[in-house]
Amino acid sequence: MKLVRIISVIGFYVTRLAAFAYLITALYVLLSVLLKLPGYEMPEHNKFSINYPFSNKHFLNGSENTAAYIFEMVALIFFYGVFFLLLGNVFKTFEQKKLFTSQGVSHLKRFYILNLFICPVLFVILMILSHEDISYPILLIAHIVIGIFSLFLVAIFNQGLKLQNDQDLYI
Amino acid sequence: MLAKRKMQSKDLAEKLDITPANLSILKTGKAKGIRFDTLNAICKILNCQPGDVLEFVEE
Repeated sequence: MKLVRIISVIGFYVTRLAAFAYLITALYVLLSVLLKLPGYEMPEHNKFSINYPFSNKHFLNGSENTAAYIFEMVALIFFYGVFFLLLGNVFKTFEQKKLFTSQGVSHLKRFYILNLFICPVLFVILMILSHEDISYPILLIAHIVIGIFSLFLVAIFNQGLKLQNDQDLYI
Repeated sequence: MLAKRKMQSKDLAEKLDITPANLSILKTGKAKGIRFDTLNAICKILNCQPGDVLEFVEE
């Protein structure tokens, strides 16, 4: 259990950092494009670049300056931001001394809903729209597998919570 | 039994090393079960037999 807690603590901070970076990036891309911020450049025909804030160094490069392409970019970055955020919450669940809590169950539920339901819908839309060489089917399968395992964990946690609540009534 | 021994619930809970809330659960019959250790401690503190603190109630 000690090893689980150590991994969970490390995982929590790493995923929180990743989530923060992804969400900020998604917001920055969206604002750059919508408000045509100085960092949003169109150096060549139908291509674009988004620079690091307050610099001329390229941060993200886009091969098509179309709404569909920008939607794909923002949606994918935002999705992984949310994914890491919810994964961090799952790590937080395993960090606790009391493992079976209703809060832990809701964290796992949100995580499996994202992977098992939201991800397929989003990735199918992106597969249709995408002109990029991203292997969505492989990513989708990976997310569905994660979602299924999370669903099983929810079932185990629900059972554990019920047993623990019963156990708490043995005095 | 507590009244007979002129003892307050709070004192019993303290001696049993359980929370007053848990003692209340025991007293109101909301507990799913009682551990032998707890029953043993109650009998020892109140100087009584298990039958003095347990009662069968048909549901």
